[in-house]
Amino acid sequence: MIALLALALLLGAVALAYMADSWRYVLAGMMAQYLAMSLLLMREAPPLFGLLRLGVGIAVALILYFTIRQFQYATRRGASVQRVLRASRYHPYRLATLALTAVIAFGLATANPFPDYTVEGSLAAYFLGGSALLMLLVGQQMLRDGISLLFLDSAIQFLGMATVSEGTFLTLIFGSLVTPLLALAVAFLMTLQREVPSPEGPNQ
Amino acid sequence: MIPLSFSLTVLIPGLAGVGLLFLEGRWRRRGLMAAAILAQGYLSLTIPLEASTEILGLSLEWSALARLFLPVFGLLSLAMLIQSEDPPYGPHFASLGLFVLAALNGSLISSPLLAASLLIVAGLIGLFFIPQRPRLERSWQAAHRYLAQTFVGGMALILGLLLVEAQRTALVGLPLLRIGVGLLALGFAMRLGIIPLHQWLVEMEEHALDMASALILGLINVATLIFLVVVFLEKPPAVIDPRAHQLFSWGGALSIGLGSLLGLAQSSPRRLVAFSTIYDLGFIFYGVSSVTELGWLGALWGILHHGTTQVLLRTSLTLAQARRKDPDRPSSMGILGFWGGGLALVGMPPLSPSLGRWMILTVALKRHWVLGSAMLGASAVMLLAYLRMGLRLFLGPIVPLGSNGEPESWPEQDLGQPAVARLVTGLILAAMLILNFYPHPIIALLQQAIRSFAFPVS
Repeated sequence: MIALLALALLLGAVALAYMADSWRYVLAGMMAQYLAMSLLLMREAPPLFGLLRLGVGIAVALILYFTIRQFQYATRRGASVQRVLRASRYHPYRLATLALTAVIAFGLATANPFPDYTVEGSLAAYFLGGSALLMLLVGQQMLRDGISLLFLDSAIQFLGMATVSEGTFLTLIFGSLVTPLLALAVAFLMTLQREVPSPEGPNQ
Repeated sequence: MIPLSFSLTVLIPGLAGVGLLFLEGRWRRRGLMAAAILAQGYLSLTIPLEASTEILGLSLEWSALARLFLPVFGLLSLAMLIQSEDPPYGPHFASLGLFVLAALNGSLISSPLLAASLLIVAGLIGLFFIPQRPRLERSWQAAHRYLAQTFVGGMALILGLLLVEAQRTALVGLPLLRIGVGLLALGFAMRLGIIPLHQWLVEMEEHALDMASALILGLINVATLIFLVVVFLEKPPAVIDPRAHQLFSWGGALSIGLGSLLGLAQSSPRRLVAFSTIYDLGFIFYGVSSVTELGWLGALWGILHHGTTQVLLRTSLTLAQARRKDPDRPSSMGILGFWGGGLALVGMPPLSPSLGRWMILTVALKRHWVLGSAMLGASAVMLLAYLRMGLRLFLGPIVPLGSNGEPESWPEQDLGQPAVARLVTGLILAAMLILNFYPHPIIALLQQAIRSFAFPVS
């Protein structure tokens, strides 16, 4: 039951991050994704692993939240900036590609579940990884690209945790360093984006 | 004592990086960097070969490759960081460079999965070097592409490793294993910039500052290449599918051929350096996938020189920039460095990189003489490209270093430190010359590294 709820939450979270126009919804989707993956991870690995991922997710959300606030503040002061998020057009097309990703992930997870994982766990990882690549291919905005990379990281870290035994918990900690560092790199590029002239003109 | 020594290989550069954040004064900073590199060199000589330890559940191992590359990484970092002391590199460039060094040292002594994570960490820190004023717009775009391509490549590496590792427990079927090998090939190609996934490398070479791209290509890419060798020698993909090595071989050959042709077509020195890097990576890829001792030796020799050649070529470009101040006075050290680095890359003696090139060419000619001859022809094309560009760059009228056919105005502060650049160029050329005539100790160490892996070679 919890697995099904977590999968539904994951589907909603990815759809929100993929389709929403407002950065607040995109960040909310990202945070919900971390919550869903933590719930699933608690079933597949020791609960501490799931809590660790949730903690990392909160740190990432805070980094991006404060960066966007700073970005908005600079925009209000009149800085010439490129839009962080372009309004996502072609909603039906986006919805269709997301549904296709979910179907492919379901097929892969049932035919080839990841070693040591349940079908639900494999489905979550395949879907999240596939959606991340889809977002990366479709998106051209820094924030959405960053979120898609974070989704990809989340899927791979999720898969890595089953093969890491409790004795090598430190390996897990070192591996988890990647996530906040990635968020910082995205925040750094977003901050500099204020100074990069946009071919589309100033921010709205 | 041994666990402490292992920890210090990571802690020393990391703590020196923290120290640099607070230290003022050029000579004090240089002193701290030199002390850290010396300590690192001392550690690499004192830790016994094949020593292993476990720290809080982490298994660490000291191999011949770690002994060889730890001091090389240290010396290259020192050469690059001293050249990046002035604007526009920014005040924290050296600190971040030492953090990269700490992560790379850790990757040399860790298990493959942790090493892959540390390489991604180093790559993410490396991103902070790329977008720099005064070329913010284009360098920002280069950084954006670098982040997307190398991060996805790193994730493909981790997933591929997980699938190949799972083979041990026989939990994975052949289709998933083949996907694992494919992901490894894709991950290495994306992270290293093998054709056709080379766009990030060319953009970065073109728009990032010289020492920024030297640090990424000369240190992070070299550590990735060492990781490639370790993965190949520990778990050769041919065991899973014999066609896997052909995939790597043809990927390497494609990079050699197209890299040389595209290099010849460039009018920008930076783009030529980018394509010659891709050409060099192609040789290393081919050598690693040859599964012969000579091929692996050539590949490891090439990896050892890949970073050094990067620094040499970049330093020569700094000297070419310095010509702008005095156009009538050609820089003899600059042209020596540029031609020396370029000609050594294509296998022309008397500098040491040429030894590795001929080892791989010998293997290629023995395996498929048509492909080997094509690789030889590609080397002749690259030789022509370097001779032509060297003449234009150092003996002709001043040419812009950046994009093809675009005028470029370089701010004065972007000229670097010509005196330091001359010293570094001279030292690297001397070291390459000595190593060419006296390569035996290094070759013995590399052979020891190859034989320490269980997979039999022909």
